[in-house]
Amino acid sequence: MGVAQLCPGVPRALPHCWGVGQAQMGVPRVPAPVTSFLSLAVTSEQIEHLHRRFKQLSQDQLTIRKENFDSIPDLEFNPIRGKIVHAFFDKRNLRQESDGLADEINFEDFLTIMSYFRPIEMNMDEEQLDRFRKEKLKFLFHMYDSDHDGKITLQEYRNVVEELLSGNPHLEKESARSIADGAMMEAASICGPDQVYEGITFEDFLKMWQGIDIETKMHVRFLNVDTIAHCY
Amino acid sequence: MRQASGVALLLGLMVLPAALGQRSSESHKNSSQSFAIVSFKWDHVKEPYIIALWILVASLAKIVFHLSHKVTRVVPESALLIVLGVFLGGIVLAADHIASFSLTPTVFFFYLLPPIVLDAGYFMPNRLFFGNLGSILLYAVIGTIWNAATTGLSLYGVYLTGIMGELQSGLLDFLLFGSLIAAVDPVAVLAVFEEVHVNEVLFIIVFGESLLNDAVTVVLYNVFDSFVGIGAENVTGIECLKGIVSFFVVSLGGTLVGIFFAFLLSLVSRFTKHVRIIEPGFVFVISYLSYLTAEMLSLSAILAITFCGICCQKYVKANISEQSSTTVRYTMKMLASGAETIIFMFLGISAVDPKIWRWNTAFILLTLVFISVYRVIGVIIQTWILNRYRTVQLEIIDQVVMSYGGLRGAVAFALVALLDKDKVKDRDLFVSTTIIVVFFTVIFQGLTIKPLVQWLKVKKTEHREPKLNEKLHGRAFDHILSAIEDISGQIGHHYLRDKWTNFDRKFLRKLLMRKSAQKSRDQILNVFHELNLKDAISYVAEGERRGSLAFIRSPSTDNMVNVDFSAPLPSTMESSVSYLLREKTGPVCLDMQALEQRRKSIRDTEDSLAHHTLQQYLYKPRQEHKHLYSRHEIMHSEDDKQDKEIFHRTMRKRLESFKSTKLGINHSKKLNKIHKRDRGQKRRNSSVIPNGNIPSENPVQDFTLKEKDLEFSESEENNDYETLHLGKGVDFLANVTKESFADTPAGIDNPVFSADDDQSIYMKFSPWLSSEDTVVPSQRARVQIPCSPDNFRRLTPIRLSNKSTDSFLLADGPEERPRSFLPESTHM
Repeated sequence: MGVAQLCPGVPRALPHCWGVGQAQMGVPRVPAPVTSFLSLAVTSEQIEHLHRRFKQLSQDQLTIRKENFDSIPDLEFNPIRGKIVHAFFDKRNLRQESDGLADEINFEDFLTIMSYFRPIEMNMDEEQLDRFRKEKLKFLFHMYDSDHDGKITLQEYRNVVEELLSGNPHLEKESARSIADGAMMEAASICGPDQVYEGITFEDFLKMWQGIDIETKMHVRFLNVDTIAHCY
Repeated sequence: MRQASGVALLLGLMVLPAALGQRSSESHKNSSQSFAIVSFKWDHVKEPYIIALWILVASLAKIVFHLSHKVTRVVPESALLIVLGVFLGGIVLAADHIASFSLTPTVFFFYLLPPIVLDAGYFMPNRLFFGNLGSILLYAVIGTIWNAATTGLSLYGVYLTGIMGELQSGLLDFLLFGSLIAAVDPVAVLAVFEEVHVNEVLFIIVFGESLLNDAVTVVLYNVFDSFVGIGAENVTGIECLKGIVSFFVVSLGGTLVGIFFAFLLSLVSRFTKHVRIIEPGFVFVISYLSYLTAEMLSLSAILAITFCGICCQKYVKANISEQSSTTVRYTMKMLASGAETIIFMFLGISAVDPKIWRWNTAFILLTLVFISVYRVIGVIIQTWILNRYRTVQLEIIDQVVMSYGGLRGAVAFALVALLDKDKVKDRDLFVSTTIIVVFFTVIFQGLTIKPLVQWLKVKKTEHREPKLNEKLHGRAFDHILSAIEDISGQIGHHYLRDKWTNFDRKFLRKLLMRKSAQKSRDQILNVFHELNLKDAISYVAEGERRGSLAFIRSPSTDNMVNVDFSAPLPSTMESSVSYLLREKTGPVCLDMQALEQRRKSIRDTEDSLAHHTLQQYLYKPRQEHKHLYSRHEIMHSEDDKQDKEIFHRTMRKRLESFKSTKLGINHSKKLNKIHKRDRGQKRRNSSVIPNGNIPSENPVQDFTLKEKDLEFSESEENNDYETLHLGKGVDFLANVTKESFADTPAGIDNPVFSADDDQSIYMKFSPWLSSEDTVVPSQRARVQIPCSPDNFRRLTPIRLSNKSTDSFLLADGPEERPRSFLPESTHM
């Protein structure tokens, strides 16, 4: 059920939905901008499901810490797991004005991160699509830009590529670096050849992605959404 | 004009097979008892001869079609071939009074269909295919059943009203007909959609459906065929149940057979290192065996060979050598395209047979209407269901194209031709209807689908160069998404893919891939390799274009030649100069010969230098061809280590040049040093070589050389240097810098290689300004150095290194001077 149709209803529906949870863990007040964002993003069933998952991960605590992610066995084989887990605690992704890393995140933050991966709605207009795209790319950009200076430097890029390729035991670091260098050059050439190039800024990053369909690449369709509890 | 003659030739040839076939019976009689030195044994070769001629005719027809782009752009080739076939069939019929050729099911299923399907499977974009597998399966299974049932039942319903007149068919016959006419045909779809270029998701869905619905078609066909055989009154519920079970057995069994043979093929290809010559053969033979095996077990043969191709491609491509891989690719394409051509032509020819035609307007028209309408309805319903689960929604436009792309083809025709006339009384009507349906869909829909796609503005595929960044980010996305699925605790698409990749890496690759292939087989690395390779190829091509590889030289000299002065160059002057040079007589002639000699030797060293460069900095093709005849060997073993080294070195080089501009690192010091060293070298050379003074002996000669020469003789240079104002030099420098900068944005097509940086750097530190003992090119040389690799900037970073080692400098020596001759050599 697309939430878009019941767009106005959902924020009101949420507290009902979490009736039990509210009593147990005092559901955080959802700030208005986040709510409107979420209302587009995740259906109430999915929220329900994610909430259960959240409790499971946090072992019934109000917040999740980094260590909690270690309990996910499948994540172990992911070569860039560090970066991904990091992204969950990155305040830039959490729509907080401040910079830096959070120690722990609550459910609302968890949802915010998850909502980066929502699929496109059919009835989005051009402007919305554009914003949507930027959101997603920003997430990726923040993942690469590990020192929060708004630029992906060569070193940062190299790190990412090394991690990405670390799954293949036969590839040495040297190759990974070469590839990162090549990619960086490519990026530099896209973003104007005569400036002194220190790193990829977000604008350049957007330029690089021009014409590439990322909407299909960066969203998750949760296949086995539990449909036990409808709350409206 | 040419077309007309081509057509005439074609027509002449066309009639040949038919005429030959006709004459076959007579030729046998005039064999005599006595020993004949030369005998005409037509019957001996008749069969293969006619086949070969038909193939030739079909291929020639293709050539003729493509003489005119106007025609092929509008009319799909398949439609043209069918029309041609009808035409040829007409000729044969007129000459022979019987239709002697037709597309027989045996030939079609055993020889013509497998190559096409194998080609489709082997080059299937796996990721796309498996990403959309759910949708494809729904369309293929439910869609086909829906089409078959509705078409059959509706026709039967209309038949009961009596519009069609008297037919000897029951419900089962109609369902049988419905089942064979329901399936979208892979051959037809591929032939039409390849020219339309719709977006890849749409393409894979239509095409995947047409491939996978084979299992359904075969099962439905077999079930109804046997039902018709045993009679409607004997069909029980158990029989129906058997039919349903047989569907799963046939489809899953076919798939499993395919996977088994794919495994076998991958395993075999791991050990073919020493029999490279027959390596490609394995691919074809084993895949074909999978087809035949499935056929033998009465499983879906198309599914078997499709999945054989899909599953083996990754491992086989990694295991076999580059040449073998090219061979496989071309052979497969050739076979598939040839088979397709023959199929369509014979479809046309088969239609011309008065015996098979039985007209029933209502039946034929209604069939056409029903298959179109039910296809549309089916697509809409299924898409509605699918869109609830799909991440990428299928829009209305996509649905229109999908409905419209439901082409029927040779599979339906072959199936209907297989029907037994004794069991199915209305076989002829079914055959005629099928032919009409096939012709209608292939010709009419094929013709109109392109305008339709354009009119609807369907998203089309854009061909893009592979980009490193894109690949890297794509990889990152994969990992992120699977991680998100892990974290959210749901089993989704990415979860499955991630698990599969892990399994593949841990077990399958180790088992099925050669050790060396395991190493180098990474997609990102592949893209990189590809880009490097492309670079190298263009490098060589450019060298050939220029007639010399001399543009690959050390950067110290490059900085001087690297500017494009070709624009202001007066070509008349150039030609007259070369004319003078060539037409010289008298004593000068001797000198010229000597010069020629020298130039030759110098060019050799240049070339060897260039080769050295190529060897050092570029990927070598994985194997080199040696011109020794051997039936079994064409390869050398490759040296992985060296490859890797080259790879790193190239990259380092590039990064250096990259840094120097993009990161603003100053190279001036180093540059100057190099310059000095170079100049010194040059000095030594010119003093060593006596030839340098030759030209001054002859005034004409002198003139030409002064015009053309850069630093031919020491004295000349000095003269020039003296007469030259420094201001002019600066002027020149300014020009150069401007030009090189102005050029920069335009020159980039492949960003990885676009670092045209060193050039501009060198310009900044022009030799005659930065060091006192520099050599200034003569005035003319400054305006006219025709061999300027400036427009060839993609390759600039892969030049000889600045910090080149002694071997380079040694090579540099003799190479330095002769550049002056180059203009002549390249411009003549």
